[in-house]
Amino acid sequence: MRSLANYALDLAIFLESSTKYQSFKHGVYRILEDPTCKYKKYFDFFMIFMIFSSVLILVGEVKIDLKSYLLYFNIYIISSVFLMEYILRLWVYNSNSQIIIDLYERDTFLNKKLTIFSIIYKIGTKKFEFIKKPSSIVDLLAITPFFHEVRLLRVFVLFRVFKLFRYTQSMSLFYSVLKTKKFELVTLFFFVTLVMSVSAVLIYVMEANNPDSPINTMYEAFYWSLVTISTVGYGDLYPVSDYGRGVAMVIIISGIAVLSFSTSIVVSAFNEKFDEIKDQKVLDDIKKVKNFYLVCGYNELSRNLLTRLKNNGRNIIVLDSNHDAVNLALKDGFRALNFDPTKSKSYMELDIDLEKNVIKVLSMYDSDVQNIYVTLTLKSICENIKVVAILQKKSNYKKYQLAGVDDIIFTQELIGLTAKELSGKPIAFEAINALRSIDNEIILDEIKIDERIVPHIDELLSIVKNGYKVILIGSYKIENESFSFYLDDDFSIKLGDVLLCIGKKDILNELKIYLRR
Amino acid sequence: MTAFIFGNNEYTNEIYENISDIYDKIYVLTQNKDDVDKKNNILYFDLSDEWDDLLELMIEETGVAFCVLDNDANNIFLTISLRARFENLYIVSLSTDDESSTKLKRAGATKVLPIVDITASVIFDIIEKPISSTMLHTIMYEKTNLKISQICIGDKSNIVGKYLHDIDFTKIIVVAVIDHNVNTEFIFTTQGHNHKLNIDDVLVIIGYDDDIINFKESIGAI
Repeated sequence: MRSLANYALDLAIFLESSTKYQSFKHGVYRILEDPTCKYKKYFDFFMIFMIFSSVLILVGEVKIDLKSYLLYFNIYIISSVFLMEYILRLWVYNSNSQIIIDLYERDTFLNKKLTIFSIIYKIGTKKFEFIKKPSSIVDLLAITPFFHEVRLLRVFVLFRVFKLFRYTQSMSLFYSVLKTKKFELVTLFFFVTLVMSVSAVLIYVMEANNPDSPINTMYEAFYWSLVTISTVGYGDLYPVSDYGRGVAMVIIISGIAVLSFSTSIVVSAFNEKFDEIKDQKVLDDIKKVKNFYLVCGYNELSRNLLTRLKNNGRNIIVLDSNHDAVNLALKDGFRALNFDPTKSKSYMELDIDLEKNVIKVLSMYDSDVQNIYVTLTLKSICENIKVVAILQKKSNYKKYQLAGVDDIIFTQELIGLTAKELSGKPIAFEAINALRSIDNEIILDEIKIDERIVPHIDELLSIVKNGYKVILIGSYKIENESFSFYLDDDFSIKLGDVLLCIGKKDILNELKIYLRR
Repeated sequence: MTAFIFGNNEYTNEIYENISDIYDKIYVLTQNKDDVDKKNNILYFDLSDEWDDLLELMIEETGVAFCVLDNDANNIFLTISLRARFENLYIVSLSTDDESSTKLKRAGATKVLPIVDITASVIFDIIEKPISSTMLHTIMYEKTNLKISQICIGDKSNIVGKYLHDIDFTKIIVVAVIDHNVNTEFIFTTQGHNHKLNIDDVLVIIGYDDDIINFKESIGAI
């Protein structure tokens, strides 16, 4: 007869091989846990709304008689949502079926029999890892009003507020920053505890037997110590004897030290982590960007080019090992990271699909050595990635080709060609330069003939022929990589061609929309 | 016509290579005495006002001077020195940033070539408009019969006084007009088809070699 463990194994294999189940679970995981998922923010907003509603109802209920449906909504609906979320988080935390399969494989290898107890133990241990996490404990406690209507338990409303922290990054960020100063904070805690305990005992000894003194118990002594050392000083309890006031003076001075010490710990922790926090923020942003130019090296040329790309609506990410260059790029409004583009580790940390997400890499360093290094690093990670690089010395041209640079830009050659054009046809050169300029409203643009435009080709030709707003220069035939001049006798336009037009930027954009209507 | 390239570096080599078939004579003027090679027209110069040797060479002021020194400050000083001595010389100067461009213009450069701007615009075209970029490269640097050209309208031309939209451009495309009487800005035909053509206007056209020659003949520009 088949054992329970065998049924569990069958079910595990079925679930592991089911693409529908796996994609559904992955989808749920992404919505709950993956900050790069575009639907996560909607889920987070929904949960924040639920928490606020719940807290408002619970707070309002203290003094006002609320309508019963509001209480019903709070106790059953909101709590059910929280419960459902908790169960889903518990479910996606790990893969039980994978645990069962791993156990089976291990036991088969060791010639042991798979038992239901080992499965339950292993799964239970893993799930307990989730349950004991502080955020999970808060989640669980936030559900409690669902089970209890006892008034005392309404204190659990606090946990609903704490639950908010799950959906805001600031708290986790604050926690991670303070974590780096654990030793200093623990030292401070012990110092405060020691000073408070000594002062509480002293003040109790000095004041407890004095009939005029409001401090009569150890609890009051501790309370007074804490209020004084924190420099709050309510004034409800105070020493009346000379000895008691002496203790108060010592604790007040200690309070100033404690306050400045704790402030400096927090400030220095933030200062030390500031760059890391900024980089992390950019990294999180990058994960959400789908298509972008990866720019290695930030200098005057990069700045000029990136401004043009940004104005053209392109996403850009800058990598530079120079801290000042990164700061300049950030100041100029680009996403920039203090990562070394010549190291594979930098791209590992970026954690992006280079082939899928990077349109092109622009290696903009002033040094040929750096540009070749960047190209080789990138090509060794992703062979198909396209690299455009600046060449400084013509003698290195062949090396660029060997490294695999797809487009080599030799500035000196461009200047030579410009000088030639300027010498022969200066005005024609100026006209073309004006069409290239980012500030000019008349531009040379490309219109790709796609399936939506094909039915309107005759209309397009008629617009060009009878109007003056758009000048058609010709069409580029992708299939045979040839250019056909508009005034050629055999000029024709076909699907896939790219038309070159001159016109006002806005009019060309409108024309494209009109043709694709 | 004679061209003078001031400075001896990678830019000099590229400029020399590209303009060698346009000018009758090209002189390279270097600040490094070791580079001097009089047989190959590589001469020495310094930034003082000792222009005696140059004056001999620059008999005609219709030549072109390319200022491509490595240092922006020296380039600006060279430009202003040339302008002070040769009032009508066509001076082309390289600049590495916007600040130097402004100074070079003030120093009297006829044309400033901003290296960063030119490189950035070419890279932008290559990556964002690869087809336009290829086409521009083809027509500008004469790899086919299709060319971009400029026609200056002389006083004998039969299109003087006519509007752009009245002229028959069956074989060529007019991209822009420059009207020196109004200003030096381009009037692109997408906006200026109502422009009345005057003497000294310059048309920027695209067409095949033969068609451009025929057009020039038909309007009496040759």
